[in-house]
Amino acid sequence: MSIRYRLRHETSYRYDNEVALAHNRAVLTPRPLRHQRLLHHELHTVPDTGYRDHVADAFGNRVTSFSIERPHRELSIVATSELVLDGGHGQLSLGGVQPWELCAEQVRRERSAERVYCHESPMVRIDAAVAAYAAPTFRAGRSLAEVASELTSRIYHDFAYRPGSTAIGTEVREVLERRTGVCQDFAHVALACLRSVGLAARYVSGYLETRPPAGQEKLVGADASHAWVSVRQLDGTWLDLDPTNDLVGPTSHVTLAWGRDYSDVAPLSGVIFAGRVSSSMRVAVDLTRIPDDGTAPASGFGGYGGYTGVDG
Amino acid sequence: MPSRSDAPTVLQTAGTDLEQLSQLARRRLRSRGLASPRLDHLASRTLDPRPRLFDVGAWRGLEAATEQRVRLLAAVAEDLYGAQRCVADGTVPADAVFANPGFALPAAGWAPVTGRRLALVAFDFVCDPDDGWVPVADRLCSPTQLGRALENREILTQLLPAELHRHRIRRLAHFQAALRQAYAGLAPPTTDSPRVLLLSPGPQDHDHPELAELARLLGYTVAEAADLTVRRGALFLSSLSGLEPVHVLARFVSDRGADPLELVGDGSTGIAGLLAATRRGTVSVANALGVGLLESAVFGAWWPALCTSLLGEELRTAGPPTWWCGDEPSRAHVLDRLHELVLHPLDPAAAPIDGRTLPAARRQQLAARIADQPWGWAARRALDPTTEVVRTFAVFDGREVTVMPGGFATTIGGDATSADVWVPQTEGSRFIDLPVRVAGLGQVDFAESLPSRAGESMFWLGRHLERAEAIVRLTRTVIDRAEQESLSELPSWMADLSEAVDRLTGTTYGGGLALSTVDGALRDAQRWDGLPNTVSQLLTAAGSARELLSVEVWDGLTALRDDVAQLAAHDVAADLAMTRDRLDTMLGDLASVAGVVHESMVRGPGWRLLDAGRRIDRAQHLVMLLDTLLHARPGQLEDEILEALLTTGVSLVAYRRRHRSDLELEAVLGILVLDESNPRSIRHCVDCLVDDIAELPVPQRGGAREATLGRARELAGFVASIRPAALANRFPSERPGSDLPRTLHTIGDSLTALSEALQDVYMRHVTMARLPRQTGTARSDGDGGSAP
Repeated sequence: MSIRYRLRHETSYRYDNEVALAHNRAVLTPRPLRHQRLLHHELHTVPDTGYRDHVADAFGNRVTSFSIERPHRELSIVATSELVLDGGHGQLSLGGVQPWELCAEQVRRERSAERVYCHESPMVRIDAAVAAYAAPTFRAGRSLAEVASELTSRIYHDFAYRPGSTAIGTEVREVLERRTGVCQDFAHVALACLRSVGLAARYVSGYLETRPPAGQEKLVGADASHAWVSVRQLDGTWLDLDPTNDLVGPTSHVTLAWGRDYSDVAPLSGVIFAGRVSSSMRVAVDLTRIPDDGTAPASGFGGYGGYTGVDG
Repeated sequence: MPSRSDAPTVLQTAGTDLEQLSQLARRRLRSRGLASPRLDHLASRTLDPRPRLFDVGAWRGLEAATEQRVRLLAAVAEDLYGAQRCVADGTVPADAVFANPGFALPAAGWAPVTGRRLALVAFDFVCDPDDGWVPVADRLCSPTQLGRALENREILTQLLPAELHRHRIRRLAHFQAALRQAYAGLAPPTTDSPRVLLLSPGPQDHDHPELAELARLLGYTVAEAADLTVRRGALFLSSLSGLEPVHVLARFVSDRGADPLELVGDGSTGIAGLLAATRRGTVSVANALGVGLLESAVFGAWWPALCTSLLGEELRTAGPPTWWCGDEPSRAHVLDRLHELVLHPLDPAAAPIDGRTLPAARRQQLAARIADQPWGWAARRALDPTTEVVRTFAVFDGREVTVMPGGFATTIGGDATSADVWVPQTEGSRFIDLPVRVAGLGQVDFAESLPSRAGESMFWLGRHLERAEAIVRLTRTVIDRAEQESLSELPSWMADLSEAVDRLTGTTYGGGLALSTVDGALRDAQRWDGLPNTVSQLLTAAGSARELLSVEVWDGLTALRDDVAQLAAHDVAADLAMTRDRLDTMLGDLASVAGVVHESMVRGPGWRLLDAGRRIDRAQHLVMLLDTLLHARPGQLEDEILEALLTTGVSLVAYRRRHRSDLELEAVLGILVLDESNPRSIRHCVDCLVDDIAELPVPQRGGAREATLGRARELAGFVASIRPAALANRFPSERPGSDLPRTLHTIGDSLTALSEALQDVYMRHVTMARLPRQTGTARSDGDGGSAP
């Protein structure tokens, strides 16, 4: 069944002083996939960009580099997309029922850039604690589907979901110790475990449609950026694991991009040039189903989500 | 077959005293500021005046090995950042590349605008008794020491001209021309007057002095990352007159620190957007970002196979035996011999671990780490730190490799001492290495072009030079008076002079004894504006504007550093005569710097800023001095005060010539403040300042410069309008401009405002900061929401 979505991802920065120049890198264009068709996409900024460039990065993601070259105190970046999701993706293949060691063995012989998904990456360090956490699941002879599903469930149950308990730079080691975090932390833990046993696993950045509590209307901007992981199966296809929601296999997530970890596909990264300045950021995401007649419920940009102070 | 006999001979020069030659060489290096890059960096660099003389045949072997290695590395870089065929066919194991932090993913899959990734490379070779010349290190990101090699040759050309001639030693000029040609050839085809810039890690880096020297020799501007900015997808230099396009960046920085937006680094350095500009083809970076991967020692295991596979040739000189632990037999070999091998992590930026010196426990930990991530390690035999290394340099223009007929000889253990490498002409050949004109390179006049950072440094150099001089003059005045007075009963004006010393050196007067005040001003390194810190900041500023300063200026600055060290060695009060003598020496050295600056420097924007800094500081010191010593107090002013003012203000002689009378306040102030013919007067300083500002380039936002010039002219007009009688009124009066205190405040405030305005127009530096990033987060049960 195909579902049509409208996606709006707004990021706003506010500065307490004038910023002379900003260079940014956005990974906000959903990847066209077999089951995900991109009908329309645009990136709009205020102030307008002085320059922008679209390139494919080393993982095949669509990346937009842009700069704001006039003094500004606020910067807003709005990415809007329309896409059609055709069933699920990231599903279990026949290869997934083979023992996980076979997958690892096949990946070990790989002579392509996919080997980047087997190693430590800037935000995924593998140490003894990771190996110890992974060990009970990765017993000999179990199928890839079985270990993937168990690992996903264990992370879901062992770790408390607590927004704000971690920051962008929080390391896997720390998340393992404190057993709290958000989706990207759980994804990083899963990646570390999968790679520690020699499997190829990648970080996926995307969106999740939220369902309002029964009887209540859905809040505008309440959808969110999300992150999960994919592990490579014997036939070269990838199986999705979402440890934040204890989901394995086909999901209805919208896929933006993938890479080794968060640092490869952060939705927005940037560098600003200014005198003394501190900045605050807020993010709002709306993922709306469009009925077949093509009319979407009106979605405005209201006064939700306070600014968080970050020293720049 | 190469052999031990390939090693160059150490040329003993008959009839010359080695010790004397070494002294001369050291002096030359010091005066270039190359011996010791920083005041606190005492490890000196020296030049062994005995060149390493190659046999023609042996050199030919080393030259051929260098030539082939350049082509090999260029081909491997192209493959690994392009089609990756040598990974697919198994010549290089995938992990050596994809697990390697040196592999720059954002640089993969596209080619630089000219298709070329290498321009200047350096290789370190050691001469093995059995295997001949063995390459032990490849320098691709920062092929340093070329500046020092060229410098060494320049010095030896002066010290041993007859020897050079007698041995028919090849010159290096041809290589320099080839290098300039290669860099120019990297410019995007869209420009016909390419601008090449040399990127240094910055004045604090110990390679900076020789990079500035190299830039000077090649005629390039040396810049650091903060001088450069990417706008509309192209690279620009922030100069005093605005943004100037840059087409080729000869970089001497690591891959990782090059672009905080795309390359993993600490995010605080680099040029944001550089990689994107390179990808877009508006600028070439040489050597290309990402080539640092090949500096990884692990590649030693595959060079022979890569050479066969990519060049279809046999590798001339294999590197030292390299065992990659990702390969099982090699791993076993390494684990057995950890105690005799050096372990190199895959990451080219990580330091190797010497297995020989590891305690047993640490060695076990290392073995565990290797077993855990075997692909992450390679091992080599240790090299004796006293082994001599010859660094060769080569230029690649995409078709041909030009190897420099010379090099840089030093040891594995450290490069503090180096020697020149001499390569004789082939028998029968005539002198062919004549300087070559670089074809197709229009002469572009960059005289007006000065990085804002260098301009800022010149400004502060001027200010600190002036402050150093003021401290020396004032303390000398105090010491002279202290010598005359008996120490037990100091007159009250001595306290005023002491207060002036303290104010000048940035501290509050606590009523201390005159001599202890002087002692603090001259020796206390903690005091912000004290002499040691002033000279230290002066040297930092000079180091950052190194390329604008001549050898003679460096001679003088080096002398100043020594003067401060001498002063710091002894208690001032212990031997006043000696202190006074040293202060005189220092004044002489300051005068010699001032003389060179005044007589030998082009009146470009750099000089203008230096002079402006100097004038502002000189006028401000005088304002402070007058304010401290002439403050309103009842009773007569002592003659001593007036004389001290004139001495410190270097105007006593001028006064005596003009007024053959006793000292009178009005006349003294006339000389110090209003006399436009006295180069030390406030009026003269302000007039010069107006000229300096008027001659500075007009930046793209020109209005600010005009406003600053207007303020300077206003101040000059004010000073010119002051009546001597009003100035002599030490007591505040009702009407503004009619007494000394108000007048001094007006001048002082204007000077401060002018200094700030100048910094604002020409030096306003912004700093770089990372934007916060969004954390993704959601659970499908709805408690997610947006959580930045």
